[in-house]
Amino acid sequence: MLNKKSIALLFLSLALLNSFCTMAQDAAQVPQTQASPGLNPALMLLIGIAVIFLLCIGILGYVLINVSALNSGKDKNDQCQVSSIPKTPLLLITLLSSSLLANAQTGPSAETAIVAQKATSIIGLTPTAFYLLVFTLFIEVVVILVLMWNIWNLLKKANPVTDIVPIEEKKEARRLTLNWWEKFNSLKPMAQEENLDTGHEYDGIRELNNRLPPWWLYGFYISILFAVIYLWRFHVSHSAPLAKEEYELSVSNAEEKTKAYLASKGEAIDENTVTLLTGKTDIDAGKVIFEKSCAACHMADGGGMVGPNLTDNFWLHGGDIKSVFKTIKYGINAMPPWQTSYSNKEIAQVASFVASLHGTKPKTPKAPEGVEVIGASQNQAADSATKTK
Amino acid sequence: MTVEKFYYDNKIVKAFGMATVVFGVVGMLAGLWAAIQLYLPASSLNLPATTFGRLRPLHTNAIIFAFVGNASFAGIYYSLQRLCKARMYSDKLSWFHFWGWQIIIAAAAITLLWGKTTGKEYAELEWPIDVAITLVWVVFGINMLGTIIKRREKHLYVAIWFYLATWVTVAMLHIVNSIEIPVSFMKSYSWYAGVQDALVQWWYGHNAVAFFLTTPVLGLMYYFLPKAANRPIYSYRLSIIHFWALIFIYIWAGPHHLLYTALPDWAQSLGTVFSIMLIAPSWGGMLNGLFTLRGAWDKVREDPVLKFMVVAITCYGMATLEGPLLSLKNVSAIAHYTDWIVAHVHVGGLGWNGFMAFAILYYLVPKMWNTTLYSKKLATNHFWIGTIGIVLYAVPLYWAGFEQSLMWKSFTPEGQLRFQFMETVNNLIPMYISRSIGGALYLTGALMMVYNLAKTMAQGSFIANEAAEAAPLVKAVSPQKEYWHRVIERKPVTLLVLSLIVVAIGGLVEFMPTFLVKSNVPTISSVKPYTPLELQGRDIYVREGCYVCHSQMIRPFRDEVARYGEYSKAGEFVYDHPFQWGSKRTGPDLAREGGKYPDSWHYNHMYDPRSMSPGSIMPQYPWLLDNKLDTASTPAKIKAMITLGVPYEKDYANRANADLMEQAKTIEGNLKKDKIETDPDMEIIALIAYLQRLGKDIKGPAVTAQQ
Repeated sequence: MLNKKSIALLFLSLALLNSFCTMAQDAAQVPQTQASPGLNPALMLLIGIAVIFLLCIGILGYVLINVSALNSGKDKNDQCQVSSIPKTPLLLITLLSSSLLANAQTGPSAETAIVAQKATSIIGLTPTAFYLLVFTLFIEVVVILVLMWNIWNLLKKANPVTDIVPIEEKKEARRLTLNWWEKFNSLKPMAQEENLDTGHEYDGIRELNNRLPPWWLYGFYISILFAVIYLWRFHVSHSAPLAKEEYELSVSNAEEKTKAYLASKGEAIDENTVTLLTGKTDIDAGKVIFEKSCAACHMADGGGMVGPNLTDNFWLHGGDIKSVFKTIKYGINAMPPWQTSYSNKEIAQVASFVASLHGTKPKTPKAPEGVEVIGASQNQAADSATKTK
Repeated sequence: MTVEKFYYDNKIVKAFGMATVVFGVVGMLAGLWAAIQLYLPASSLNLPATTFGRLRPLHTNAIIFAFVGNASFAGIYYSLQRLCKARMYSDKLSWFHFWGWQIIIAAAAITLLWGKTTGKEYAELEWPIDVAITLVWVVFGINMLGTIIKRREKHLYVAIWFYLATWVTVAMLHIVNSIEIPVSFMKSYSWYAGVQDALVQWWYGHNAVAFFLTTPVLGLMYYFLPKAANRPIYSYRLSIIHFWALIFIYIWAGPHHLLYTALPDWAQSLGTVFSIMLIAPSWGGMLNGLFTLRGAWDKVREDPVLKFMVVAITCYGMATLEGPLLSLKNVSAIAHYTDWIVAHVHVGGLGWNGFMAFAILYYLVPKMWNTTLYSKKLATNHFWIGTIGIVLYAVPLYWAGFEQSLMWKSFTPEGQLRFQFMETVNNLIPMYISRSIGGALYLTGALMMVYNLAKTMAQGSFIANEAAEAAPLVKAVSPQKEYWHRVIERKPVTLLVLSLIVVAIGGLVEFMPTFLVKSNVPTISSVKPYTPLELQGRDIYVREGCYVCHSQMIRPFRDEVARYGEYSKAGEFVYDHPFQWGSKRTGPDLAREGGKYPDSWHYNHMYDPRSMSPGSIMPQYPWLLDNKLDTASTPAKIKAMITLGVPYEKDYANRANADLMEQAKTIEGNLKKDKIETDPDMEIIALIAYLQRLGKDIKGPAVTAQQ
């Protein structure tokens, strides 16, 4: 039979396992080359699940104790003494979060420190940390199943008695019993207050001597633990960057990011500088996007349906490459803007593909709309369209 | 055993109580006025005395030392007598304390508006007033200790532990931080410079909050809360642990005001970790307060005194959790220099200190006038209007701080700063308006209290000397073994000395290496002392309270370096007596202002900031264009600087003014080229000289470093 002590013990060991995972992750980190573990989404998710499982175990354990007490016919007052359970999960969570917090202290640098992970890592974690976490989760699932099985068995045997108590007795009972909040704070029933009196009296003020709320006391210990880890990481193991290192890291990362951005933008094309692309790869890329996002209204062959025909000489918003680019990027009337979905480069590819459609024969062409355009750019578009074919 | 008859002195409590109310209203008005100036710069009236830079120190000093100070004294004088079962040690000392303190406040108000300031936040008062504060504080201490020694109660209650720790720590903080070298009757330079001055100042500034706004008020809570609720204190054990832990840990946390600055990293880390360890001791006070109310929550529904106390204690809990979280580097990176900090401080100030003061006043007046409160309903309305005021004040400022910080840090994907500083300021105007409405509501509530208390006084009759009786203290040594802390509780001097030792440790550990180990402030050979004109300009900068809105500390962040230039180095500030790093960026950082704009830009900008930067909320400084520079003070200032170790040549004091005029004429010439006619010996010229010097010392090497 499980008792409260064994559950608490189980809890503690699981929590330690959990925090070891983060520690292992810690140790494996080299701050200059890898993102901070505190901000790794996969790690956060796994730890989050582990903590939720822990909470479930705590709640189930609590239920189990109560159910078993009910079964063995213990009286209510005795149950009031069970206070070790609620504080344990709290201890764990704070323990976990304190180590996480200490890790998160790498702060803004980590935010920008997205550097390619080593090939040996699993979802951004070192293998040791990953398998430790998975192992913890597995153990937790087993414990949850065992607890649920126990509760189920006990409940089958249970035969609770419900009785109706008059209001005055309820009030009296309130003085004798504790609710979850009072248990959480290790308070004693109001009726036992005399036992706590220190006998001190100053100008009519008496002093009780309640126990320290466990969450407060353990919170204090944990904040001291946090301090030790923090100082260790910043000033002994140097596994967290100091202000100057953090600055250099953030600047170099930002530079990289900016470079990557400008590259992805296709050397900074916009509606003023865009030119017709004629390479086969560009036109093909444009075609893929067109079929995905444009064909619904313009038909795959550009013949038009909801949107206008793109193969004829008539244009509502201009038919040169710059106008088409602009119409696609920012949208107009029923045409939606695509600038948040596609990069300027991709929009240029689509616009070029549209230009290549000019003069082709769609299956069901829509009647012409807008003004007829026979300009240099249009000819050029038509020329290049024939060329690509 | 014979019973002695004696009288409690209520008259001194009444006097301090009255002063609390008067200075509370004055301090809040100053705050409201300053708040309005942030969106209506013209409301500074273009007068030197009423610009933001002088009004804000007046507001903070009035609220901290006049409002909360007097409230604490009122509460201490009331509770100490009753907890010791003795009249105050000496009526004469009581009244010396009272009048001394009020004269100091009046002198502070006059000198601050007059522009006499040391330029160190919450310690702005000049040296003669510093001396007076020390004297009055010592008198208060003698009077308190005298009362405790002639007490008729064997042990000291927890409230008195807090009073004693307050007294001894404030004395230490005030003396250490106020070491300065007088130049003239109302001008002095801080003994410390740059990084060291910053460390001492925020060790003081942080612990002024701790030991002037927190520990005495916790002491008051320990007396007035159980009295009002008629419930025993929740836990004696918790009192002991949280008292000693609180006073020990608090002292260390000062450097959290200087995260990411040029302060050595190890000191910053100490500030962070001690702030985190401070959560539990602070919450110990909150728990001991709130759990004392167990079984009395039905009374909270009825009694305005308890209502105020519950919200006050809750605000205390919120602020003391938020503070440590703000001390984490990544949170500080966002919140520091913004209105977030202003919101945080006001949750403590309006919520904890203000509401505790109101609660105590609502408790004391009916008791001392032997009547009941004139209108419970009005007091309840005061409670609600005050609470709404706090919410309306704090929420917009949290928003403002967070939003502005994110805007500062925002880059375009191309790597450009997304917002000009001015854009981030203009965005805050609606929030500033809302906060002043919140403040106005809070003040309205306070005025309702004034009326309510006046009516209560009118319907009752004041008991100047309240009769009491108790048996005298017998010197007999108790035969049985006492709990160790009970032994300390009956030895006030031991308690006092132990407190001093406990609070001295943190400061010593942080100061010693910063002062003695050279590597903590690496010297930069290109950093030279200020020229006489720049020094004079710097004094004008300090006088006008520019540091209230402008920082001079570029943190090592990508956005700050992009916006202001190379981040600040410890060695740049070695001649800054006092340091002017600032704590809030209502305007942009000025650490590298030198050379950014032409001289004529500064000239026009000081005359009307909006002519040079449209949308600016900076006040106008027309008097700088008309005031003649006081060059007679130059030799004395140079001499003082030499005494402080600034390497001017030995006889430079006599030649300083010649150099000063020469530099002034160059600036005058520059202005003339831009069609501005002025004399060289004007204050504006000196200020321009100082602003154009800022940050230039290392501009050369910084450029090479970038290449």
